Formats: sequence, structure tokens, C-alpha cells
Amino acid sequence: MTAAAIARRRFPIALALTAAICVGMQFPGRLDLSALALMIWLTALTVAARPLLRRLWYPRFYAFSGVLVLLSGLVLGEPDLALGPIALSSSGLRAGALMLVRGIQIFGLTVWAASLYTRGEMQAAVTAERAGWRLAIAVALRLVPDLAEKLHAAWRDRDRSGPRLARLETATVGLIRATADIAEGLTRQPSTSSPRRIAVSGPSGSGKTTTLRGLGRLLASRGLPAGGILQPVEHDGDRRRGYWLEDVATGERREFARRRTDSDRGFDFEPDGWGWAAQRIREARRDRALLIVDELGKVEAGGGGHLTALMEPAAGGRDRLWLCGVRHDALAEIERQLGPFELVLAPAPESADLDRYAQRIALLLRGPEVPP
Amino acid sequence: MDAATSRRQHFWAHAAAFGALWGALEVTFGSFLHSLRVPLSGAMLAALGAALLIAVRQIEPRRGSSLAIGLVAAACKSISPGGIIVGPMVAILAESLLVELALLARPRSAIAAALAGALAVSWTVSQKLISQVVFFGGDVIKLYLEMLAKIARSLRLDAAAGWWVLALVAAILVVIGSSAGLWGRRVGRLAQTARMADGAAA
Repeated sequence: MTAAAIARRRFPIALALTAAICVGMQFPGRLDLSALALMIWLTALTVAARPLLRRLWYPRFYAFSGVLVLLSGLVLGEPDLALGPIALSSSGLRAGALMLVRGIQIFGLTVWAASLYTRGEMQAAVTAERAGWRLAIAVALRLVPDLAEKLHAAWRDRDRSGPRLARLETATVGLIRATADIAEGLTRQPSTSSPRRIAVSGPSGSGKTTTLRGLGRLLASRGLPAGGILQPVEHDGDRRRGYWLEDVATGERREFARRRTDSDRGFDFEPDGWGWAAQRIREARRDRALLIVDELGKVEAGGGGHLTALMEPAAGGRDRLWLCGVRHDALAEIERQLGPFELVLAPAPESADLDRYAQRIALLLRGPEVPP
Repeated sequence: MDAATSRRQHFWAHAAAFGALWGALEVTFGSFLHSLRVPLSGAMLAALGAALLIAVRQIEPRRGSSLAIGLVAAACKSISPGGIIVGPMVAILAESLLVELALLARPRSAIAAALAGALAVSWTVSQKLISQVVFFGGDVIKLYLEMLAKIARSLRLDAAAGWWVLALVAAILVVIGSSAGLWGRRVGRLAQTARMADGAAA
């Protein structure tokens, strides 16, 4: 159980009362009372939330507090003590000790107070309701990874000729314009033009990529030009060695992830691959009727990966249908973030199954683009 | 959709996008500066944040927009890697409040922009002092004042010399802040002019 969970579950009212008493004991400004309050609080934490004591170890804070005590002995009051060649004041040291004790007390109280809610709970609380600032925060939290990427790109691709200040100014103006365009896009995108969303969902190795590839070709041959990315696996015997990224529109491929050499679990991703994939997704949303995005999994369930390019506002795009490959264990979380899928299909790479799926999609679109 | 709803949507859309931009700046550049322990990194980030808020006011001059962007950016900062986030979140909110107050009367004037920048950057030092008073009590201020007096005496300077040093530091912060404010105003105007030329601005 985490420190936060323990603090929340054990004696919350008793701890709150103890905290109030300890704060009250600080008011007279007496070192003995303040020290007693600190002892009471540390004992309470030891009994009720021992793991929180570890969080009280913050060396910079204690180093700074120690310096304050010494400075108080040196600076405040008349010197009446000798520490070797240094003359110190006992009243100054007492004042410093009082500051130190109070500091640790307040620090201990804030550590406990901060443990009452996790970050996730706080974010869930502020983004729970769809109104005004709460919605703005929810949207902004999704935009941050992409804007961080834009900041990185602005730095990476900056013009390297001409005066430095002028280049900085040009890049900043570009960034502000791009952000203002995003804001405009947020208000302009009509909900009725939202593309339909279909998921092909299953566990790893169940054939999602093959199904998406086959379905993409079938739908493209029936009038829905496809774009986006596939993420085929590279095998080493029975073992997955890595992933490739494949541009659906052009067939261009690049290496994306390699299994970690020091571990049986997890992959090392090529950082530029995310940007490359995001660019293909943006282009497909802008220019293609069918967007295919493969391998939405744990990274996307955490709000990152390919999800950021899917969440971006994109006014005036031609995308009518999204076909997403989604890991079964991440489906619920991705739906929570992206919105529900209208159809969730099981991976089925056989051509008869693909034909059947194409018919269902045609019914969903109710258009002539996918004739029977 | 009625006009009031449309205006409200427009307002919060700008708050979301620019709050996310400021949040991204804090999460990336801010974390980088803090991890390198660059001196005056708080003042640098405050200057950048103020410049951004003032630039946005040239595009979205509505009252309250700086505060709304600060609120969103502070929420975005909560996803920042690293343990200590409460201090930066409070700083973002306080800076946006100060910029909002400074731009309340004339959001596009140069004087207001310079004042807003100066206030936001000065806040970084004030916040350090305030947080130390919260943690250690009022004695910490007494300690600093005594230190200043002792240093002045040991250097055989007038007791007021310490105050001059403080005034010099404050003046440097004010110059940094007002320059950032004026630069933000210039960048915002350039961006708005370019958007008008593109026909994108409403």
C-alpha cells in the first residue's frame, strides 16, 4: 500500500485534530512548546502513516535550515558563547532552533496534507465536469504533449542565419500564431462533422495489424483513400524483437522500437518516430477519408503516444472514418479519453471476414463510397 | 448558439491553448532549468510566462484571459515530472494574477505591459520570502535585516548600504521583467498582424 493510501485510510480525523493542536502550539513562539508539538506530530505520523516519514527526508531543506540556525547564532543577539574562534549568541541560536523546529513541523504537515489526494484524483476532480475552466483544463492537458513537441521542433528547426534576437522573435511569433490557430480550431470544429470511429481490438499478436492492413486496402479499393500508420511487428522466432512504423499512404517504413537488451520486458522507442507518426496522422486527417492508426496501447492509455495527434483539433479535415488498432487491455481507457468507438471488431485477417466487416462499415457510413 | 455562449467558448478555447503552451514551457524548459540549477531560473521562467500572457492579450484582449491562462497552465504543471510542483503552481497563478491586474485598465498599452512584466518577475523573489516566512516564522526577516546591517558594518559601509544592494537587485529584476513585458507586447502584435493578414483573426 502506498504512503498516500495509508495516510488516507488510517485515522484521518485523529491526524487532522493532532495537526490543528500542533499548529496551535506554535503560536506562543516558545522553543519548548514548538519542539513538543513536533515530537507529537512525528509520533502521530509514526503510528498512523509511517511511510510518510520517508518523505520528510529532503536534504536541501535541512541544509538550508541548518544554515539559518548558524546565521541566527552569528547575527542575532549579543555573543555569549564561543565555538572555537567563532563568537555565537545563545539567544540567536535559540531563535534559529525555533525556526528549524517550526520549519520541520510545517514541512511535516504539508507532506501529510499533500498525501490526502493523489495527482490523478485532483486532475479527475478538476476535469470531471464539462464546463468552462474545467473543460479548458481537460483540453489543455491533452494539448501539452503536442505543444511541447512544437516547442522542441521550433528550437530544433530554428533558422540559424541572421541576428539571434530576430530569429527568436520570428520563431516565437510563429508559435503564438500556431497556438492561436489551435484555439480557433477548438471553437470552430462542428461536432456533426466528427469522423466515425471503429476499433479493431485484441491482445498482442492477435492479428490487429493484418486486419487493419487488409481492411484498409479493401476500403481504399472501394473509394475510401486511406492514410495514417501501421505498426508491424518484427519477430525473432516466437519473440517480438521490435516494431516498425509504416506510412499507410506510401508504404514507407522506418524502425520505431527495439526490445531492451537488458530486460525481457519493454521496448526502447526511437523518439523521432512519434513525431513522424504524428505527422502522417495529421496528413491523413487533413487529406484522406480513411485514417488508420495502429497499436493504441498502454502509452496512449496514459494520454501520450499516437493519441495526441488524434486528439488535436483539426478543422476542415477530409477524414470520415477512423480505423484504430487498440490493445484490448487499453480499450476502456482510450475510449474514456477519445470517446467511444461505434464498432469494436475482433481481429480477423481472413478475406471473408474482411468483406463482412466492410459491409458493416458501409452500413455505418450510409454512403455510396463502400458499395456492397 | 447565442453570442454569449460563443464568446465564452472563444475565451476558454484561448485559455486552453495558451495555458497548454505555458504549461508545456514550464514542463519542458522549466524542468530543464531547475534540474540544471541555473541561477535566476525562476525569474527567467516568470519573464517568459509574463511575455506570453502579454502577447496573448494583444490577440485576446478580454479581461480575465491572463488569469484563465494561468489557471490552465498551473493545472498543466501538475503533470510535470519531478516531486516539487506546488511552488511553481502557486507562482504561475500569482504571476498571472499580477499580469491580469496590471493589464486590467489598458491591456494593449506599453506602460501596462512593462508594469505587468516587472510585477510578475518581482514575484519570484517575493514568493521565496513569503514561503520562508510561512515555514520559519517572521524571525527569518529579522535575521536577513540583521545580516544586511552586519555585512554593511563589516565592510565599513553606511547601514543603508544593504538597502542599496537590495534596491539594485530589485531594479535588475524590474528591468528584466519590463523588457520581457514589452517584448511580449511586440511579439503579440506581430502575431496578430500576421493573422489579420492571413484573414484568420475574427
